[in-house]
Amino acid sequence: MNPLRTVAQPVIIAEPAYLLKRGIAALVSDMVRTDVLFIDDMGELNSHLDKNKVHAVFIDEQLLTDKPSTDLFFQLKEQTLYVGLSANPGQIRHKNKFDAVMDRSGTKEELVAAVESVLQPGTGESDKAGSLLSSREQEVLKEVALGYTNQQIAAKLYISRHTVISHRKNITAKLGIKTVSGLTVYAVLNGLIPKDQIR
Amino acid sequence: MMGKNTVTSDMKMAEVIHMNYLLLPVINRFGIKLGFGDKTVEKVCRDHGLNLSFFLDIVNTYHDPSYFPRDKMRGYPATLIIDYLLQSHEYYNRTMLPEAEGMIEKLVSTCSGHCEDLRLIEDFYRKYKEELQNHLSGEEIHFFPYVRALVEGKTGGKDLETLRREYNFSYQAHADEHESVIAKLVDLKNILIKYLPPDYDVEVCNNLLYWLFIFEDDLKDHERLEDVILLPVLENIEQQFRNQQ
Ligand SMILES: [Fe+2]
Ligand SMILES: [Fe+2]
Repeated sequence: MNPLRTVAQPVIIAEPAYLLKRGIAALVSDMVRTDVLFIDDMGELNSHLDKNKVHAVFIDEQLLTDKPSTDLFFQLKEQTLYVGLSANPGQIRHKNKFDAVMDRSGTKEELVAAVESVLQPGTGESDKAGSLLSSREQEVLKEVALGYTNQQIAAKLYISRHTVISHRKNITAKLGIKTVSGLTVYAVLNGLIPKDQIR
Repeated sequence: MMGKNTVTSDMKMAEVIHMNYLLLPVINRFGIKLGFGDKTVEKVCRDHGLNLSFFLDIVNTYHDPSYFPRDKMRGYPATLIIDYLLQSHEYYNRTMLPEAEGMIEKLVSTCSGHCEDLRLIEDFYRKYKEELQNHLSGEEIHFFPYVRALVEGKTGGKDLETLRREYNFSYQAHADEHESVIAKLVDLKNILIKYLPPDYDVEVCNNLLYWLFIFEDDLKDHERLEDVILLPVLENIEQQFRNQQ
């Protein structure tokens, strides 16, 4: 068996159904070495997210009924992965805000695949699809390597900040490189930007 | 949960090393050197005046990723944990970082052909080394002394906010630093594994990678001890301090 990857920030499971939350926790700890927290009160969850860095949140869509607390929940936290749990994943509310959606009644294999695609970037879907960056992703990567912020990149490329962040998540998942300085090295090695343009 | 592969007090220290030689630097951090003869773990710890239970927990969390008795470890005195963390810092400063740097320098100097790219990686490493050294010394100057001041009651009648400011300690900044020093190390490994340009010496680079894997595991274990054990212990101490005021 491969040694488990350590994730420094915890994973939060916001799911009122006892068996389901235990089940997801078990899948998570099979896959990564991390702390798992159970919070199914939106107020508590939002204040936790406000104060702490969190690697991923698995949340039941039933908790996302109240508008103010839902808006607060989705306020962009770049490092956090959002996973929705739904009885009807195709129709889940706020679909475009989630990094992944899981079927509450999925088979073990489906659930494992879903958790894997979120927690083990690079070994899931994106790798199978080949690790080539799309041309849009290359553009975003270039700007990142040149030292621009998400806000600046959004303005330069006429896309929303949310879209920039989503491209960045994909770039990181495909390349296995997360930090700006690491991405810069990649960009120079691959001729996306000349060395003398690094800030 | 004591698995078959757990280090126990009645094992011989020599067996422990045979079971997992990567524990050697961890054991060294407790002031223990080779040449244990047939002494058991318990005997060696007693000879060195160590807290046996703490020693076992540290060695086992390092040895077995699934072994992590959170609540029990949060019961150890903060100063005991800090002393161990300081020893790890010394190891990173004295051994881990310079060794890796030496290997990277060798990688560049044995390069044949287009070596610009390898220099880029060397640059990345140099900056990383500086960042990690700053993180470590920051903890030594701010974070640990802040915890110690609270534990020892040397707070001069000040409130927490003032103390935090004086010691320049913030949970958020600390968490950001941890995330960055781990992420950059992982990035460096991936850059070497996935994107290394071809004009390099295989042996030199393999050695570097072996070393970086060990480095990463060690550092992650270290930061986990700080994040998941020491910080909650600190939060407790802060709470007690507030209650007393
Ligand atoms: Fe440290
Ligand atoms: Fe640290």
